[in-house]
Amino acid sequence: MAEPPGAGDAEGPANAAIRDLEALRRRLERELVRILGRLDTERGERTLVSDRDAQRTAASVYRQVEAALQQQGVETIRSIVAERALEAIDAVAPGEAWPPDVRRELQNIVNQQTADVAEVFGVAADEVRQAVNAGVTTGTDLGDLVAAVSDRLNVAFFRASAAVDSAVMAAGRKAVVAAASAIEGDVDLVFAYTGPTDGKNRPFCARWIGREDGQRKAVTLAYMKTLDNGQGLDVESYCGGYNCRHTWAPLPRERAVRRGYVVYE
Amino acid sequence: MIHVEVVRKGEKARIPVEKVARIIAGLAPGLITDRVDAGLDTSDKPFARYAPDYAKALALAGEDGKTDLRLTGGLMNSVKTKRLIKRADDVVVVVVGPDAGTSPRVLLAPPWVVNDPDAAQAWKRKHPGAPRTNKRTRSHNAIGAYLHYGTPTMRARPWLGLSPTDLRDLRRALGL
Repeated sequence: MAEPPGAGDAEGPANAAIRDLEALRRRLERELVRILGRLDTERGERTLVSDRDAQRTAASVYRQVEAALQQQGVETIRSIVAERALEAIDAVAPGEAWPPDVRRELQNIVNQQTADVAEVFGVAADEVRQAVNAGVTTGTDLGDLVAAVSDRLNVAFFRASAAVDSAVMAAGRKAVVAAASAIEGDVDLVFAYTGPTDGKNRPFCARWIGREDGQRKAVTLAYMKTLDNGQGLDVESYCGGYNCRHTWAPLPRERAVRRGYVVYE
Repeated sequence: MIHVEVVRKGEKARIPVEKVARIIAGLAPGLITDRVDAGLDTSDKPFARYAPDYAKALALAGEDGKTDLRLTGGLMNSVKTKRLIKRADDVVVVVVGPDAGTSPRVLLAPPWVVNDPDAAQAWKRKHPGAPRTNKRTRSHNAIGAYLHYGTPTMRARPWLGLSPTDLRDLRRALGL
């Protein structure tokens, strides 16, 4: 299908981060298959043996797997993700246009994302260790073990992508709220909570989107800063938390009231 | 492109053009997302409803059925002021729109599933909610343009831009 008018786009930094993650996953998988291939197998067969030598080999293999995840996974990803997230933020919030506190909060989003991705890879390293141990103890097929490790890597990269997406969404919300905050002195401004109202709403979202009481709500910036989504994440940037589908819409108060929003201040 | 005229020819500007641009930059994304959330297009008319099969797939995934152009929220969340370009002493262009990022693709039931009650129940058990996948969507601005202009298989739902009500609210906020 031909691109519609207006659809031409330079690749966004977020896309690049996801592509980098994909490339890293492929590289790590190759590395892990190579390392796992060193596990001893029974003569002429691809089944892992569970004697003491094999256990020792497994321990050595796991150390290499863990090192690969740590070095290539956590460390590489940390720099990729932080760099890409900063690019994404710069795309929406060029340095000179934003006050230092906004830049600081945007940096907090990057730090949160980096910590999330590091945690994802920490969990993945543990899961890979369990898979290798289980494989050696039960004498599983080497191909099955490679597949199990590959599955765990896929899950880890899926979670890492979700962390990148969440950070990009958070940076987007922050940019919109910051642009609106800059005119607070000129316009009587409120922030309406917009997005879906359905059974998947978290308690925080259900309250502010009006699923609980049928009453849609808006807040002033000062009130927004007092809100707590129960996830330990900044409400301004993350709304209800990771993967939240909601958005703050900055509106003149008059419009919000006319649309039926109740304003909290 | 929306033209917001704040002075008549020969008049002296009552508000500095940079300030006008800042106010538009701060409000336009919210005016657009709020209107789309209310299911209204750039003429303040209700959007064409979703195709029945798509609406059923959304319902099966536990999503609300309102026509608000949202699924993961990635597109609407990406709507922001992208650039302020000063063209002359009294002309500033404010560029507002979705970005070039992507969102994860969401797994929704195909038409043959949503139209078969047994298959629909089996799908719901196997894929609760609308699970995100490892695949990515097209860029937000491409999806935005498809939604705005429509495609041979999808009705147009014009949403990019300011509606008459949005413009009126913007002018009021500017004190015009």
